[in-house]
Amino acid sequence: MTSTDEPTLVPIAAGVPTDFQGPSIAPPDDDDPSLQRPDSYLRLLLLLLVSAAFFEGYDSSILALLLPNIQSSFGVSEATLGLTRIPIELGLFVAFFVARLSDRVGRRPMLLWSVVGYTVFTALTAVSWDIWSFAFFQFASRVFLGAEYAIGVTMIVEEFPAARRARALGTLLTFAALGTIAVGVLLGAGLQDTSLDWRAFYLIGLAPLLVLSLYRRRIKETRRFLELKAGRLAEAPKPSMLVPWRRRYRRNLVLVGMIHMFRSIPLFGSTAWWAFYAERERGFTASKVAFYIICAYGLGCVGYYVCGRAMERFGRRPTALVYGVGGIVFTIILFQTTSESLAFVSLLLGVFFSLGMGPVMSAFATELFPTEIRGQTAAWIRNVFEIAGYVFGPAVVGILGDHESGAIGNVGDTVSAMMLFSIPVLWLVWRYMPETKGRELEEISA
Amino acid sequence: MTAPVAAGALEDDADLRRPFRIGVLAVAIGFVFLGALVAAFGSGAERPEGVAERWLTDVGDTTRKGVRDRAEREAEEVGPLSLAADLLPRGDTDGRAAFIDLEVGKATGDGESVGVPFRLHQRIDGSAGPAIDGTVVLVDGEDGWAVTAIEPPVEGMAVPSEGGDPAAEAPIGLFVGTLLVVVLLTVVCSAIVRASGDPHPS
Repeated sequence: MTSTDEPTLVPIAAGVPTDFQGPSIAPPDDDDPSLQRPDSYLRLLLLLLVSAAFFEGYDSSILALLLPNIQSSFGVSEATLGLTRIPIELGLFVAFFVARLSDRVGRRPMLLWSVVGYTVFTALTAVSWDIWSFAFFQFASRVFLGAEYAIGVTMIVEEFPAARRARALGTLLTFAALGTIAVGVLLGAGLQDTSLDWRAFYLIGLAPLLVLSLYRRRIKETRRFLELKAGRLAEAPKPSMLVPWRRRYRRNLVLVGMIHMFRSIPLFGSTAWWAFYAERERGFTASKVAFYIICAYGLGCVGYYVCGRAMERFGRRPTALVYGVGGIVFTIILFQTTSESLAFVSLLLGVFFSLGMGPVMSAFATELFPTEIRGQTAAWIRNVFEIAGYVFGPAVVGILGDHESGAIGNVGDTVSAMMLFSIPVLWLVWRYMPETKGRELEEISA
Repeated sequence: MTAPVAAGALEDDADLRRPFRIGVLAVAIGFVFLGALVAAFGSGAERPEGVAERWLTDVGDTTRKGVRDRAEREAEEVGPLSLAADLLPRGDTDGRAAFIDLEVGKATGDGESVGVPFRLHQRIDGSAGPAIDGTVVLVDGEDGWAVTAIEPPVEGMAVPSEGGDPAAEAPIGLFVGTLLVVVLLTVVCSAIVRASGDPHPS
């Protein structure tokens, strides 16, 4: 196995196309200065791309952490809040198609226009006049944000040498987590208490435009795209998007897809509503929510690292089972306990296990499929199966947990019941998932 | 470099269209079923606890810049704002909501008239003032629940953070029922995996 064949085990958010061609960068043409990529340029590129990743985490977290403020601004019920998440999160699905345009028009112009689109619609979110204008601006913002992040991943894969690619992708992911922590810090600092209220958080989303205006002229088209356009690099024919549904791969696709779907629905239902639950059903202040989030995400992110180590040492299946059980147990405790100290520990461990499971889920999505269809498979899993969680998890919690008319009328119990829907994940992993620890990709796909 | 898929060794994509369409249809039916299930379980009725919480939130927002008019209008639809005069802070809130936090507990009453315990902190000079506890009295009328009075806290009624019952609680039967649905779902998932082809790698 060559390094270029290694699957990317960095968890990538739904909406991110991963079916770009394998990183097949030809050695740069020494005579052509337009194809030279010195370290200083790669650092600059990473700076711009991490801002995309940072705001991907930042933007998603505003909605989750400021839900009570947004609700009272628009005077809507929990059910309406939940329903508006459906069109908002579908923006990530649309982003998949927008990002694919970069195959035709180029990475650079699409990246720059994505930054412009994201910042424009994020700024417009700050002037929303009702919940539906808010939902529309957030939908459009998600389209460009998802595309920006996806093109960022593609540019790293195409521009960074193989030895530094994984670290660059890891940096991108870390900044997405830092985006969540940044919202927590601003919440703790009381930005929502300024006269702009929650709208101030969205105005901060204008920052990428400043970075762009400073560095726009220094960002280059990727070498791979230039070489493709110049005809110096033969483009391998892209397999059809339906290829993963062929009989040989179908079982693994269905299996891995269902595992992702049943994990993501409760996961995104719980992350979208925890801050609301803590404030409205447990009497937390906004500053306490901020403190909990900063600590939990700061320490809970260790879960990613431990998961990566554990799946190499103990195997994918046992790691997934332990993380899956931990995620269910601690999330239910988090949404049931009245003890603040137990809630703190549960939030920390819930983040550790539930979000930290990302690397092993990413391994499932990539290792079971041969190189030539891995991108298409990952695209199906993330953009169809996993997106169901983004779209339906928060919506179902809002509808059932609505304090006035929901069937359950309580967000805490709704999330707790929903977490039980993660149980099929455990069964499917234990019963059907092949163990791939220590096996070469060629051996697995043979 | 990625390798092209060997065309001769695999099925033609045209053969995949039918199973693909069946799959899409199955997923669509699944989501319609989920939607119907959620709708079927919707109570449709208003809970007095939810109404009290919304009214108090609107009362708090009557000092909030940008939403004041809407908050006043919607609060008046449920109960006179004059009832809440003592809940609002005396000083200026600088255009922000009057309450820093708000929590309601379980309603107690005879069905026609109920009391909902609440606890809130006023915003005083940008910080949280002392806790204010009380009871929102609501009457079930032709247009739904209406707030008719704010009374002092009642012995034995408290908000969840003070040891009271939550405003609404899922019965244990719901969790048992959910578990049964999950077991059924797991069986269906297993059947789908088995029906989708042979294991690979074996």
